[in-house]
Amino acid sequence: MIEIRDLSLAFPNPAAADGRTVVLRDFNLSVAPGEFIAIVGASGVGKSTLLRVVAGLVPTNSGTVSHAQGGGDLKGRRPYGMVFQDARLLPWRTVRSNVAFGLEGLGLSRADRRRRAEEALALVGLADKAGRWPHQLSGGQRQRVAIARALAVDPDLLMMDEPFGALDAITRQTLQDELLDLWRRTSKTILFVTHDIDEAVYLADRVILLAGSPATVRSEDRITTARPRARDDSAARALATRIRDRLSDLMDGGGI
Amino acid sequence: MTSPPSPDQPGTGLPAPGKRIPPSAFLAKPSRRYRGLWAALGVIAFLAIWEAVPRLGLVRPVLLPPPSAIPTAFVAEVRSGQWTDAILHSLVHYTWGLVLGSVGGIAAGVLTGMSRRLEDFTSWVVRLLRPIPGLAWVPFAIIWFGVTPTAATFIIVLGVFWINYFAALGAVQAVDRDLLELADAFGHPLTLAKLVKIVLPAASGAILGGLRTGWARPGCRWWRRSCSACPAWASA
Repeated sequence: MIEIRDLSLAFPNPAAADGRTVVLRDFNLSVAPGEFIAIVGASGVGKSTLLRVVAGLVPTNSGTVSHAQGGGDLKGRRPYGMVFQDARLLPWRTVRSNVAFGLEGLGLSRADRRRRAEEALALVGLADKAGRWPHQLSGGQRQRVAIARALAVDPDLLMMDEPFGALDAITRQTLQDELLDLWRRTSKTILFVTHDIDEAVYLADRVILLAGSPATVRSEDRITTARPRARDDSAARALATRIRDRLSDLMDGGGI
Repeated sequence: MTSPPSPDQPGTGLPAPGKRIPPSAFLAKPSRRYRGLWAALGVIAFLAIWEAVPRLGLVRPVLLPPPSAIPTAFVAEVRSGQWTDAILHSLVHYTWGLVLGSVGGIAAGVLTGMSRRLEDFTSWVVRLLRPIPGLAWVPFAIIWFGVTPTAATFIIVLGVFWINYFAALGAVQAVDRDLLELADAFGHPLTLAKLVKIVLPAASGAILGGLRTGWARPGCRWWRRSCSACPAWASA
Protein backbone atom coordinates (compact mmCIF):
# COMPACT_ATOMS: atom_id res chain seq x y z
CA MET A 1 0.00 0.00 0.00
CA ILE A 2 3.00 2.29 0.40
CA GLU A 3 5.79 2.22 -2.09
CA ILE A 4 8.94 4.21 -1.48
CA ARG A 5 11.18 4.19 -4.54
CA ASP A 6 14.81 5.35 -4.79
CA LEU A 7 14.33 7.98 -2.18
CA SER A 8 17.26 10.34 -1.63
CA LEU A 9 17.43 13.29 0.64
CA ALA A 10 20.00 16.04 1.05
CA PHE A 11 20.15 19.17 3.14
CA PRO A 12 21.92 22.33 2.07
CA ASN A 13 25.25 22.56 3.88
CA PRO A 14 27.54 25.46 2.95
CA ALA A 15 30.49 23.75 4.64
CA ALA A 16 30.35 20.69 2.38
CA ALA A 17 32.26 20.51 -0.91
CA ASP A 18 29.15 20.33 -3.09
CA GLY A 19 27.11 22.57 -0.80
CA ARG A 20 24.90 19.83 0.58
CA THR A 21 24.86 16.87 2.89
CA VAL A 22 23.24 13.71 1.64
CA VAL A 23 21.32 12.15 4.49
CA LEU A 24 19.61 9.26 2.80
CA ARG A 25 20.36 7.44 -0.45
CA ASP A 26 18.43 5.01 -2.58
CA PHE A 27 15.90 4.04 0.01
CA ASN A 28 13.32 1.52 -1.10
CA LEU A 29 10.52 0.10 0.94
CA SER A 30 7.17 -1.38 0.22
CA VAL A 31 4.78 -1.76 3.07
CA ALA A 32 1.86 -4.15 3.01
CA PRO A 33 -1.45 -3.16 4.61
CA GLY A 34 -1.53 -3.99 8.28
CA GLU A 35 2.19 -4.52 8.50
CA PHE A 36 4.24 -3.39 11.50
CA ILE A 37 7.62 -2.17 10.34
CA ALA A 38 10.39 -0.97 12.60
CA ILE A 39 13.27 1.14 11.36
CA VAL A 40 16.32 1.07 13.61
CA GLY A 41 19.64 2.85 13.48
CA ALA A 42 21.97 5.02 15.48
CA SER A 43 20.70 8.44 16.41
CA GLY A 44 21.23 11.06 13.75
CA VAL A 45 21.20 8.53 10.93
CA GLY A 46 18.11 10.02 9.32
CA LYS A 47 15.35 7.73 10.61
CA SER A 48 13.18 10.59 11.78
CA THR A 49 13.82 12.52 8.59
CA LEU A 50 12.67 9.49 6.64
CA LEU A 51 9.34 9.54 8.48
CA ARG A 52 8.95 13.22 7.78
CA VAL A 53 9.56 12.65 4.11
CA VAL A 54 6.92 9.93 3.98
CA ALA A 55 4.52 12.27 5.79
CA GLY A 56 5.30 15.07 3.35
CA LEU A 57 6.64 17.33 6.07
CA VAL A 58 10.04 17.46 4.37
CA PRO A 59 10.33 17.63 0.55
CA THR A 60 12.31 14.91 -1.21
CA ASN A 61 15.22 15.55 -3.51
CA SER A 62 14.56 12.52 -5.66
CA GLY A 63 12.49 9.42 -5.55
CA THR A 64 8.83 8.85 -4.96
CA VAL A 65 6.51 7.96 -2.16
CA SER A 66 3.26 6.58 -3.44
CA HIS A 67 0.25 5.48 -1.52
CA ALA A 68 -2.40 3.15 -2.70
CA GLN A 69 -5.08 3.98 -0.21
CA GLY A 70 -5.83 0.85 1.70
CA GLY A 71 -9.02 1.96 3.34
CA GLY A 72 -10.77 3.42 0.31
CA ASP A 73 -11.64 7.09 0.19
CA LEU A 74 -10.33 9.62 2.64
CA LYS A 75 -13.56 11.37 3.54
CA GLY A 76 -13.35 12.40 7.15
CA ARG A 77 -9.91 10.78 7.45
CA ARG A 78 -6.28 11.60 6.95
CA PRO A 79 -3.67 9.42 5.24
CA TYR A 80 -1.26 9.59 8.20
CA GLY A 81 -1.24 9.80 11.91
CA MET A 82 1.98 10.90 13.50
CA VAL A 83 3.28 10.27 17.01
CA PHE A 84 6.39 12.17 18.04
CA GLN A 85 8.92 11.37 20.72
CA ASP A 86 7.49 14.12 22.90
CA ALA A 87 3.71 14.09 23.23
CA ARG A 88 3.37 17.64 21.81
CA LEU A 89 0.00 18.25 23.36
CA LEU A 90 -1.30 21.80 23.19
CA PRO A 91 -1.41 23.03 26.78
CA TRP A 92 -4.35 25.36 26.13
CA ARG A 93 -6.59 22.53 24.95
CA THR A 94 -8.23 19.81 26.97
CA VAL A 95 -7.29 16.19 26.33
CA ARG A 96 -10.41 15.72 24.19
CA SER A 97 -9.72 18.84 22.19
CA ASN A 98 -6.10 17.79 21.67
CA VAL A 99 -7.24 14.45 20.29
CA ALA A 100 -9.66 16.26 17.97
CA PHE A 101 -6.86 18.48 16.61
CA GLY A 102 -6.40 16.46 13.41
CA LEU A 103 -10.15 16.15 12.88
CA GLU A 104 -10.60 19.87 12.41
CA GLY A 105 -10.84 20.95 8.81
CA LEU A 106 -12.21 17.59 7.66
CA GLY A 107 -15.77 18.88 7.35
CA LEU A 108 -16.98 16.98 10.39
CA SER A 109 -19.63 18.33 12.72
CA ARG A 110 -18.65 19.32 16.21
CA ALA A 111 -20.55 16.34 17.60
CA ASP A 112 -18.75 13.97 15.21
CA ARG A 113 -15.36 15.35 16.17
CA ARG A 114 -16.19 14.94 19.81
CA ARG A 115 -17.42 11.39 19.31
CA ARG A 116 -14.36 10.37 17.30
CA ALA A 117 -12.01 11.94 19.83
CA GLU A 118 -13.69 10.10 22.66
CA GLU A 119 -13.60 6.81 20.76
CA ALA A 120 -9.89 7.24 20.21
CA LEU A 121 -9.38 8.06 23.88
CA ALA A 122 -11.31 4.94 24.82
CA LEU A 123 -8.94 2.92 22.60
CA VAL A 124 -5.97 4.04 24.67
CA GLY A 125 -7.87 3.60 27.94
CA LEU A 126 -8.21 7.28 28.78
CA ALA A 127 -11.93 7.80 28.23
CA ASP A 128 -12.26 9.21 31.74
CA LYS A 129 -9.54 11.82 31.15
CA ALA A 130 -11.25 13.59 28.23
CA GLY A 131 -11.94 16.76 30.18
CA ARG A 132 -8.53 16.97 31.80
CA TRP A 133 -5.68 19.30 30.83
CA PRO A 134 -2.34 17.95 29.56
CA HIS A 135 -0.45 19.17 32.62
CA GLN A 136 -2.65 16.98 34.81
CA LEU A 137 -1.43 13.79 33.10
CA SER A 138 1.63 11.64 33.63
CA GLY A 139 4.23 11.23 30.90
CA GLY A 140 2.82 7.85 29.89
CA GLN A 141 -0.73 9.20 29.77
CA ARG A 142 0.36 12.14 27.64
CA GLN A 143 1.94 9.80 25.13
CA ARG A 144 -1.28 7.74 25.10
CA VAL A 145 -3.18 10.93 24.28
CA ALA A 146 -0.71 11.57 21.45
CA ILE A 147 -1.40 8.06 20.13
CA ALA A 148 -5.15 8.68 20.42
CA ARG A 149 -4.72 11.92 18.46
CA ALA A 150 -2.98 10.00 15.67
CA LEU A 151 -5.61 7.24 15.68
CA ALA A 152 -8.54 9.68 15.74
CA VAL A 153 -7.95 10.70 12.11
CA ASP A 154 -8.35 7.01 11.19
CA PRO A 155 -5.12 7.00 9.18
CA ASP A 156 -4.01 4.39 6.69
CA LEU A 157 -0.54 4.64 8.14
CA LEU A 158 0.47 5.28 11.72
CA MET A 159 3.93 6.76 11.95
CA MET A 160 5.75 6.74 15.24
CA ASP A 161 9.03 8.56 15.79
CA GLU A 162 10.69 6.99 18.85
CA PRO A 163 7.39 7.33 20.66
CA PHE A 164 8.52 5.63 23.86
CA GLY A 165 12.08 6.94 23.94
CA ALA A 166 11.40 9.53 26.62
CA LEU A 167 9.52 7.22 28.98
CA ASP A 168 10.79 5.22 31.92
CA ALA A 169 11.45 1.51 31.38
CA ILE A 170 8.28 0.24 33.08
CA THR A 171 5.94 2.67 31.33
CA ARG A 172 7.69 1.93 28.06
CA GLN A 173 6.99 -1.82 28.36
CA THR A 174 3.36 -1.17 29.26
CA LEU A 175 2.89 1.12 26.27
CA GLN A 176 4.62 -1.36 23.95
CA ASP A 177 2.09 -4.01 24.93
CA GLU A 178 -0.77 -1.55 24.62
CA LEU A 179 0.43 -0.55 21.17
CA LEU A 180 0.47 -4.20 20.05
CA ASP A 181 -3.03 -4.58 21.39
CA LEU A 182 -4.18 -1.43 19.54
CA TRP A 183 -2.53 -2.62 16.37
CA ARG A 184 -4.34 -5.97 16.61
CA ARG A 185 -7.69 -4.28 17.18
CA THR A 186 -7.39 -1.49 14.59
CA SER A 187 -5.29 -3.39 12.02
CA LYS A 188 -3.41 -0.20 11.18
CA THR A 189 -0.18 -0.20 9.21
CA ILE A 190 2.62 1.03 11.43
CA LEU A 191 5.98 2.58 10.60
CA PHE A 192 7.89 2.68 13.87
CA VAL A 193 11.24 4.41 14.23
CA THR A 194 13.42 3.55 17.20
CA HIS A 195 17.04 3.24 18.25
CA ASP A 196 16.10 0.47 20.67
CA ILE A 197 16.80 -2.80 18.82
CA ASP A 198 15.10 -4.94 21.48
CA GLU A 199 11.98 -2.83 21.17
CA ALA A 200 12.01 -3.20 17.39
CA VAL A 201 12.42 -6.98 17.58
CA TYR A 202 9.70 -7.27 20.19
CA LEU A 203 7.14 -5.21 18.26
CA ALA A 204 7.65 -5.50 14.54
CA ASP A 205 7.02 -7.88 11.66
CA ARG A 206 10.05 -6.51 9.87
CA VAL A 207 13.10 -4.74 11.23
CA ILE A 208 15.04 -2.50 8.85
CA LEU A 209 18.51 -1.38 9.82
CA LEU A 210 19.57 2.02 8.52
CA ALA A 211 23.23 2.94 8.79
CA GLY A 212 25.99 4.89 7.15
CA SER A 213 26.38 8.40 5.97
CA PRO A 214 24.45 8.85 3.79
CA ALA A 215 22.19 6.25 5.30
CA THR A 216 21.23 3.17 3.34
CA VAL A 217 19.37 0.01 4.26
CA ARG A 218 21.95 -2.41 5.68
CA SER A 219 19.73 -5.28 6.61
CA GLU A 220 16.14 -6.36 6.73
CA ASP A 221 14.85 -9.13 9.00
CA ARG A 222 11.42 -10.65 9.05
CA ILE A 223 10.17 -11.87 12.39
CA THR A 224 7.53 -14.54 12.21
CA THR A 225 7.18 -15.33 15.90
CA ALA A 226 3.51 -15.21 16.81
CA ARG A 227 2.27 -12.60 19.27
CA PRO A 228 2.11 -12.22 22.18
CA ARG A 229 5.84 -12.68 22.18
CA ALA A 230 7.89 -13.37 25.25
CA ARG A 231 10.34 -10.60 26.02
CA ASP A 232 13.04 -13.17 26.74
CA ASP A 233 12.30 -15.25 23.64
CA SER A 234 15.63 -16.81 22.62
CA ALA A 235 15.15 -16.44 18.87
CA ALA A 236 14.26 -12.77 19.27
CA ARG A 237 17.28 -12.21 21.50
CA ALA A 238 19.54 -13.90 18.97
CA LEU A 239 18.20 -11.67 16.21
CA ALA A 240 18.61 -8.53 18.33
CA THR A 241 22.22 -9.53 18.99
CA ARG A 242 22.84 -10.12 15.29
CA ILE A 243 21.46 -6.69 14.39
CA ARG A 244 23.54 -5.07 17.12
CA ASP A 245 26.68 -6.85 15.86
CA ARG A 246 26.03 -5.68 12.32
CA LEU A 247 25.60 -2.13 13.55
CA SER A 248 28.82 -2.15 15.56
CA ASP A 249 30.71 -3.79 12.64
CA LEU A 250 29.50 -0.99 10.39
CA MET A 251 30.60 1.59 12.92
CA ASP A 252 34.01 -0.06 13.40
CA GLY A 253 34.48 -0.53 9.69
CA GLY A 254 34.00 3.16 9.04
CA GLY A 255 30.66 2.48 7.47
CA ILE A 256 29.23 5.31 9.51
CA MET B 1 41.78 33.58 63.90
CA THR B 2 45.05 34.37 62.20
CA SER B 3 43.73 34.29 58.67
CA PRO B 4 42.96 37.65 57.07
CA PRO B 5 39.26 38.63 57.01
CA SER B 6 37.53 37.03 54.06
CA PRO B 7 36.12 39.44 51.46
CA ASP B 8 32.41 40.03 51.15
CA GLN B 9 30.49 37.55 49.06
CA PRO B 10 30.59 38.99 45.56
CA GLY B 11 27.38 40.22 44.10
CA THR B 12 25.21 39.52 47.13
CA GLY B 13 26.09 42.49 49.28
CA LEU B 14 26.24 40.08 52.20
CA PRO B 15 29.21 39.88 54.48
CA ALA B 16 31.31 36.73 54.19
CA PRO B 17 30.35 33.91 56.55
CA GLY B 18 31.93 34.34 59.96
CA LYS B 19 32.52 38.04 59.46
CA ARG B 20 30.99 40.14 62.20
CA ILE B 21 28.43 42.72 61.25
CA PRO B 22 29.23 46.07 62.86
CA PRO B 23 26.43 46.78 65.36
CA SER B 24 26.23 50.46 64.43
CA ALA B 25 24.73 49.56 61.06
CA PHE B 26 21.55 48.55 62.82
CA LEU B 27 21.55 51.11 65.61
CA ALA B 28 21.81 53.98 63.13
CA LYS B 29 18.48 53.03 61.57
CA PRO B 30 15.63 55.19 62.91
CA SER B 31 12.74 53.40 64.54
CA ARG B 32 10.10 52.30 62.02
CA ARG B 33 7.43 54.10 64.03
CA TYR B 34 8.67 57.60 63.17
CA ARG B 35 9.35 57.04 59.48
CA GLY B 36 5.83 57.98 58.40
CA LEU B 37 5.98 61.05 60.58
CA TRP B 38 9.20 62.22 58.94
CA ALA B 39 7.70 61.69 55.49
CA ALA B 40 4.65 63.82 56.44
CA LEU B 41 6.90 66.51 57.87
CA GLY B 42 8.75 66.61 54.56
CA VAL B 43 5.54 67.31 52.65
CA ILE B 44 4.50 69.97 55.16
CA ALA B 45 7.86 71.70 54.91
CA PHE B 46 7.66 71.66 51.11
CA LEU B 47 4.16 73.19 51.14
CA ALA B 48 5.27 75.80 53.68
CA ILE B 49 8.18 76.91 51.50
CA TRP B 50 5.94 76.97 48.44
CA GLU B 51 3.36 79.07 50.35
CA ALA B 52 6.07 81.42 51.58
CA VAL B 53 7.73 82.12 48.22
CA PRO B 54 4.83 84.05 46.57
CA ARG B 55 3.66 85.56 49.89
CA LEU B 56 7.07 87.02 50.60
CA GLY B 57 7.00 88.53 47.13
CA LEU B 58 9.96 86.47 45.87
CA VAL B 59 7.88 85.39 42.84
CA ARG B 60 4.75 87.08 41.57
CA PRO B 61 1.65 85.08 42.66
CA VAL B 62 0.38 85.07 39.06
CA LEU B 63 3.34 82.95 38.06
CA LEU B 64 3.37 80.77 41.16
CA PRO B 65 0.11 80.80 43.10
CA PRO B 66 0.43 79.59 46.71
CA PRO B 67 -0.94 76.09 47.47
CA SER B 68 -3.65 77.61 49.64
CA ALA B 69 -5.20 79.01 46.44
CA ILE B 70 -5.59 75.57 44.85
CA PRO B 71 -8.76 74.28 46.59
CA THR B 72 -10.80 77.38 45.67
CA ALA B 73 -9.60 77.29 42.07
CA PHE B 74 -10.28 73.56 41.85
CA VAL B 75 -13.84 73.91 43.15
CA ALA B 76 -14.48 76.78 40.74
CA GLU B 77 -13.23 74.72 37.77
CA VAL B 78 -15.32 71.72 38.72
CA ARG B 79 -18.40 73.94 39.17
CA SER B 80 -17.94 75.55 35.79
CA GLY B 81 -17.72 72.09 34.15
CA GLN B 82 -14.31 72.88 32.65
CA TRP B 83 -12.51 70.29 34.68
CA THR B 84 -14.80 67.34 33.83
CA ASP B 85 -14.77 68.40 30.16
CA ALA B 86 -10.98 68.38 30.09
CA ILE B 87 -10.76 65.01 31.83
CA LEU B 88 -13.33 63.48 29.48
CA HIS B 89 -11.57 64.79 26.40
CA SER B 90 -8.25 63.48 27.64
CA LEU B 91 -9.80 60.10 28.39
CA VAL B 92 -11.33 59.92 24.92
CA HIS B 93 -8.11 60.53 23.02
CA TYR B 94 -6.18 58.42 25.49
CA THR B 95 -8.58 55.51 24.85
CA TRP B 96 -8.39 55.97 21.08
CA GLY B 97 -4.62 56.06 21.23
CA LEU B 98 -4.53 52.96 23.36
CA VAL B 99 -6.89 51.00 21.13
CA LEU B 100 -5.28 52.01 17.84
CA GLY B 101 -1.75 51.59 19.12
CA SER B 102 -2.46 48.19 20.68
CA VAL B 103 -4.36 46.74 17.72
CA GLY B 104 -1.84 48.10 15.22
CA GLY B 105 1.16 47.02 17.26
CA ILE B 106 -0.12 43.50 17.86
CA ALA B 107 -1.15 43.03 14.23
CA ALA B 108 2.19 44.31 12.92
CA GLY B 109 4.14 42.28 15.48
CA VAL B 110 2.31 39.03 14.75
CA LEU B 111 2.64 39.45 10.98
CA THR B 112 6.32 40.30 11.21
CA GLY B 113 6.89 37.41 13.61
CA MET B 114 5.37 34.94 11.16
CA SER B 115 7.40 36.01 8.14
CA ARG B 116 11.17 36.07 8.16
CA ARG B 117 11.09 38.03 4.90
CA LEU B 118 8.84 40.71 6.36
CA GLU B 119 11.08 40.91 9.41
CA ASP B 120 14.14 41.48 7.23
CA PHE B 121 12.21 43.97 5.11
CA THR B 122 11.19 46.09 8.08
CA SER B 123 14.16 45.61 10.40
CA TRP B 124 16.15 48.72 9.46
CA VAL B 125 13.11 50.94 9.32
CA VAL B 126 12.12 49.72 12.77
CA ARG B 127 15.60 50.35 14.11
CA LEU B 128 15.44 53.85 12.67
CA LEU B 129 12.02 54.82 14.01
CA ARG B 130 11.93 52.93 17.29
CA PRO B 131 14.48 55.01 19.25
CA ILE B 132 12.74 58.34 18.53
CA PRO B 133 11.23 59.39 21.86
CA GLY B 134 7.59 60.34 22.00
CA LEU B 135 8.36 63.93 22.89
CA ALA B 136 10.40 64.33 19.70
CA TRP B 137 7.28 63.53 17.68
CA VAL B 138 5.33 66.39 19.25
CA PRO B 139 6.45 69.04 16.68
CA PHE B 140 5.49 66.71 13.82
CA ALA B 141 2.18 65.92 15.49
CA ILE B 142 1.43 69.65 15.67
CA ILE B 143 2.52 70.27 12.07
CA TRP B 144 0.41 67.39 10.75
CA PHE B 145 -2.63 67.59 12.97
CA GLY B 146 -2.42 71.07 14.54
CA VAL B 147 -2.98 71.59 18.23
CA THR B 148 -5.81 69.08 18.31
CA PRO B 149 -6.81 65.97 20.22
CA THR B 150 -5.77 64.00 17.11
CA ALA B 151 -2.20 65.13 17.64
CA ALA B 152 -2.29 63.95 21.24
CA THR B 153 -3.82 60.65 20.13
CA PHE B 154 -1.04 60.24 17.57
CA ILE B 155 1.64 60.58 20.24
CA ILE B 156 -0.09 58.02 22.43
CA VAL B 157 -0.52 55.62 19.49
CA LEU B 158 3.22 55.70 18.81
CA GLY B 159 4.22 54.86 22.36
CA VAL B 160 1.68 52.07 22.71
CA PHE B 161 2.40 50.72 19.24
CA TRP B 162 6.07 49.92 19.85
CA ILE B 163 5.49 48.18 23.16
CA ASN B 164 2.84 45.93 21.65
CA TYR B 165 4.80 45.44 18.45
CA PHE B 166 7.87 44.09 20.22
CA ALA B 167 5.88 42.02 22.70
CA ALA B 168 3.90 40.36 19.89
CA LEU B 169 6.97 39.90 17.66
CA GLY B 170 8.93 38.25 20.45
CA ALA B 171 5.97 36.10 21.49
CA VAL B 172 5.36 34.82 17.98
CA GLN B 173 9.03 34.10 17.36
CA ALA B 174 9.22 32.18 20.63
CA VAL B 175 6.45 29.77 19.60
CA ASP B 176 7.77 26.20 19.71
CA ARG B 177 8.68 25.10 16.16
CA ASP B 178 7.67 21.57 17.10
CA LEU B 179 4.07 22.73 17.53
CA LEU B 180 4.11 24.22 14.03
CA GLU B 181 5.36 20.87 12.74
CA LEU B 182 2.52 19.24 14.63
CA ALA B 183 0.07 21.47 12.76
CA ASP B 184 1.66 20.39 9.45
CA ALA B 185 1.47 16.72 10.42
CA PHE B 186 -2.20 16.96 11.36
CA GLY B 187 -3.48 18.65 8.26
CA HIS B 188 -3.15 22.33 9.14
CA PRO B 189 -0.33 23.49 6.86
CA LEU B 190 -1.88 26.85 5.92
CA THR B 191 -0.55 29.96 7.61
CA LEU B 192 -3.99 31.11 8.70
CA ALA B 193 -4.76 27.77 10.37
CA LYS B 194 -1.40 27.82 12.12
CA LEU B 195 -2.02 31.38 13.24
CA VAL B 196 -5.38 30.57 14.77
CA LYS B 197 -4.65 27.10 16.14
CA ILE B 198 -1.05 27.42 17.30
CA VAL B 199 0.57 30.85 17.11
CA LEU B 200 -2.06 33.04 18.74
CA PRO B 201 -2.88 30.70 21.65
CA ALA B 202 0.79 29.99 22.29
CA ALA B 203 1.75 33.67 22.12
CA SER B 204 -1.30 35.11 23.84
CA GLY B 205 0.28 35.26 27.28
CA ALA B 206 3.19 37.42 26.18
CA ILE B 207 0.95 39.50 23.89
CA LEU B 208 -1.33 40.27 26.83
CA GLY B 209 1.74 41.18 28.84
CA GLY B 210 2.62 43.78 26.21
CA LEU B 211 -0.94 45.04 26.21
CA ARG B 212 -0.81 45.53 29.96
CA THR B 213 2.52 47.33 29.78
CA GLY B 214 1.17 49.59 27.03
CA TRP B 215 -1.93 50.32 29.06
CA ALA B 216 -0.30 50.85 32.41
CA ARG B 217 2.99 52.61 32.05
CA PRO B 218 3.71 54.74 29.01
CA GLY B 219 0.04 55.14 28.27
CA CYS B 220 -0.42 57.06 31.46
CA ARG B 221 2.81 58.87 30.86
CA TRP B 222 1.70 60.07 27.43
CA TRP B 223 -1.64 60.97 28.79
CA ARG B 224 -0.23 63.06 31.60
CA ARG B 225 2.26 64.63 29.28
CA SER B 226 -0.35 65.58 26.76
CA CYS B 227 -2.63 66.92 29.48
CA SER B 228 -0.08 68.93 31.31
CA ALA B 229 2.35 70.03 28.61
CA CYS B 230 -0.33 71.40 26.37
CA PRO B 231 -3.37 72.67 28.26
CA ALA B 232 -4.94 73.71 24.99
CA TRP B 233 -5.43 70.04 24.07
CA ALA B 234 -7.02 69.26 27.35
CA SER B 235 -9.56 72.03 27.09
CA ALA B 236 -10.04 71.88 23.32
